[in-house]
Amino acid sequence: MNQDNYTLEMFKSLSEDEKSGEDIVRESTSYWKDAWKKFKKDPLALIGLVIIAVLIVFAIFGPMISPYTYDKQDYSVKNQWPSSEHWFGTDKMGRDIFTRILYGARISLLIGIASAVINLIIGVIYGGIAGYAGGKIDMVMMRIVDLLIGLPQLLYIILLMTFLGNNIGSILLALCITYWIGTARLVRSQVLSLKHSDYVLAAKTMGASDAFILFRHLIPNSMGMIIMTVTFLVPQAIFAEAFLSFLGIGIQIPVASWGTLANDAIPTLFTRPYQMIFPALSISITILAFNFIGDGLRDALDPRLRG
Amino acid sequence: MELLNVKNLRTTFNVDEGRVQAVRGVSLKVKKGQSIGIVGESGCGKSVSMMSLMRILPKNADINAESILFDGVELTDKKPAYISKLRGNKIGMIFQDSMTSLNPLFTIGNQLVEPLKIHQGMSGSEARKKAEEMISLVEISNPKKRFSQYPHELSGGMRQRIMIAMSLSCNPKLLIADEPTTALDVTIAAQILLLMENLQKELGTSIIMITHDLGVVANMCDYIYVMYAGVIVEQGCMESIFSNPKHPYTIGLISCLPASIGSGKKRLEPIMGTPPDLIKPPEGCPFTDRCKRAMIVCKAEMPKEYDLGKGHIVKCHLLHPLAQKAGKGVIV
Amino acid sequence: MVNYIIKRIFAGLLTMFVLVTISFFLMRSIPGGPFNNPEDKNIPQSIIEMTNERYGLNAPLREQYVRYLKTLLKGDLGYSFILQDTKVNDIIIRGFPATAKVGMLAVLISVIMGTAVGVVSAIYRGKLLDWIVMLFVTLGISIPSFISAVLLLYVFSGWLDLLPSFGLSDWKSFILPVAGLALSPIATIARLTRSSMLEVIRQDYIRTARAKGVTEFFVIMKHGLKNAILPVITYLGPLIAALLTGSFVIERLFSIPGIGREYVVSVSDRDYAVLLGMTIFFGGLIIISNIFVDIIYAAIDPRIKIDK
Repeated sequence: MNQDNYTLEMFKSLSEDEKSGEDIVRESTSYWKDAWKKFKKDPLALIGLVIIAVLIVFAIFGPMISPYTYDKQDYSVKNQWPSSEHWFGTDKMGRDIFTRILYGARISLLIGIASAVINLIIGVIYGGIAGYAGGKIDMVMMRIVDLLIGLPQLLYIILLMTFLGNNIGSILLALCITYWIGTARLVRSQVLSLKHSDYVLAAKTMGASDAFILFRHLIPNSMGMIIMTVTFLVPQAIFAEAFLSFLGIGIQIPVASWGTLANDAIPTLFTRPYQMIFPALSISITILAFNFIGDGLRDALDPRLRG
Repeated sequence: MELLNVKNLRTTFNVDEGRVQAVRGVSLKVKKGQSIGIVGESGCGKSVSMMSLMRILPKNADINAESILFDGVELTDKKPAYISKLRGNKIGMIFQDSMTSLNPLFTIGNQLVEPLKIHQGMSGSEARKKAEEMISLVEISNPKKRFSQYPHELSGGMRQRIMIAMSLSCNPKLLIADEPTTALDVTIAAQILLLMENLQKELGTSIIMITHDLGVVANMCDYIYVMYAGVIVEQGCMESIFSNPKHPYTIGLISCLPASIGSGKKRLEPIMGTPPDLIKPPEGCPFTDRCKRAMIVCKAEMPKEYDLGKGHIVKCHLLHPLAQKAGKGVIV
Repeated sequence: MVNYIIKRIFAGLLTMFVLVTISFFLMRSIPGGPFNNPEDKNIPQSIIEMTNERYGLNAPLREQYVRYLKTLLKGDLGYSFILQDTKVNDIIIRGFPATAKVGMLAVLISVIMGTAVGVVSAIYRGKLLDWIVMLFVTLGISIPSFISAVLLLYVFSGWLDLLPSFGLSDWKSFILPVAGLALSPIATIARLTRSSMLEVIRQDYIRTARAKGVTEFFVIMKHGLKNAILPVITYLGPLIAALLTGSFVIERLFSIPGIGREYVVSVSDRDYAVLLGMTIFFGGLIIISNIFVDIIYAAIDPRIKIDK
């Protein structure tokens, strides 16, 4: 509008409420609600979640529903390509591969989740104490960690399994001895940065003990990081087990794991690739799914971590 | 003689949440050998406007201007490669944080000779010699030793001097200084400003000083632009701005100064509120919400420029004749 | 700088010592030894005696330990349990060249390709190229290395029949093993470089470089890359370890006579002497390469020269 055509009316004062003032434009949400909102937006993470959910359902109920067992040998149907009776085909002893994959899912998930949980507990406690105590205790604890990472984790696992036998117990133990280190370091650095926060100081002045502060304040506040790390521990454990079984030095129990199935399929790789494809796909998709979830969590909880 | 003439610069950033209009129609002029200041709070667009000139903004920036005349050449239709040849050569720029502005993995010397080799085609030894001269010029002792040192081995003040040396090494006509002393403590800051003044006298460089600190500008600059929310709300020579400010924002800024430089009042009066959201900038004057003297017309429309003579220009409805009539106006 | 190296070597030796000790006692203390397999129950007593003599298994544990350390210091890793005339050292020497050749190539390719892909992806962030690259990278990281190796083997050897699947006879036979070994590391390094480069490009010193009129190419390649590559160098240590364990699979799949294969064989044969010896060898290898990596890092980043 031409500024020469203004009227006197327009030059009245503007009252305070007509101004926008200090409006907060965006509504505030809590940390977790915000994180969940971001997580929901990540299509890959959601796909991962769906895949794992389906996998768990299959692992629990699949074997019960399937007409075959994992070890029923029937040489009359050996080495068959996938068909309507045998969705994934049969192996060299006539066993139904689909059923074997379902049973294998149980093993992979069991090992993956169990070891992740145990590593989580050990790592959180170790890292929490090291970070909170600081000083000499921290130094000693970290030196021990430094020594332990001298060798690749897989080598430790192989050594331990060779000594302790090839059963689920020993692989769980072996996984536990090595994978907690990453979590411990993470928790330690989180605790280190948080322990000088004001609310810790406030708790101390109110007479809270160190253990109380550690477990009730510092660790819950690091939960985001911790959950994310654990999500990545599962595929690492599944990978380790599959890797060892693939080399023929994994768990030797009657129920075959995916890695074992893949190993069995090597000789006939060129002639009957389907025997390799299904275990390979199962392993890959499961690990992928967990990685997607982990990435989604990482983006949701702390976008600064991602490139 | 005009060195730089910018007409109607507009810079917009494309981000996830929308388009941020950081600079909304800024025009300014710099004469040869002159020092001007651009003053405003964080986020008002002062740094962005200068970086728009130099075209060192990220790819999501949209830069538009009616005209940008530098040393007689129109820059708006030139390709990026042309502007790139001007940078570090005819136009120098220094930034606020010298620690992060220097590459930690290269020696001071390596970073100093870079523009010399690129723009002046000097050989290694020629460039080294000149670089050492520049180090002495900015009053750092022992240039040979400094040449091989790394940024983290120098103090904050020294690093800022090196930044100045780097920007002046090709003897630019214009130096843009973006908050050069904000990260330094007061005594060092004073030394740096003095250094810049002396160098300006010696080399005849024009300086654009960007700062939120009126105190810095008071000593160094002949002409001042006051920016708010992407627009220039008031501009004038030093005396006009300090002894006769007209825009409520400028008045507010000066009241924030301690009595020694400011209006002489004993009480500090802060300006309440926060700047507007630049994704949806207001239609009218952006300062309306924080202005004690806001009127209905202020919210509705952006004021036009009122020329008060001697280069003093104000963008405020308080200068409209009707404002006088309503008893709200500012006495001119 | 020299101080720094010496400290690292010392730390490395300490780790090795702890490793050897723990492995040794673990090995000797489990109910087992060379004759634990049920099939061996029929071995005559005299042979058992002789073997115990040969390996010094009759002596008290502590004495065995000291003796082992002594021979270890001479560089002698002892004799295999299974192939009783073969020294562990010989097994290692026999297999090392093949593994080293494939391994070194894999390191080179991983670093060069991984970095290049990461940089390109960072520069074209958000564009189609970036999305495609990141998809491959995610797949490469998530799909287990042994699976992608099998995939390569199947596609290029079985299905397309372009490349050999056996041994290391000519240059063609190197392609699949090296690719299989390098695939995962390329993905990891690419992702690492990309996020590092994205971080670096936002830094003030990049802005300064542009403000000085440095051309965009050199802004990225000189100022950007040197900073961005630091995390990649840190990753070199774990890379060597990953290539080592990766060699177990690759050598098995492609029938390469390297130490990876020997290691797996010794595990399934329960040849503890070879197992222990090779573990020590691997440990030493990794420690040495870690020290080299630290030196390279300190050479690039002058801020590290100052000892903590």
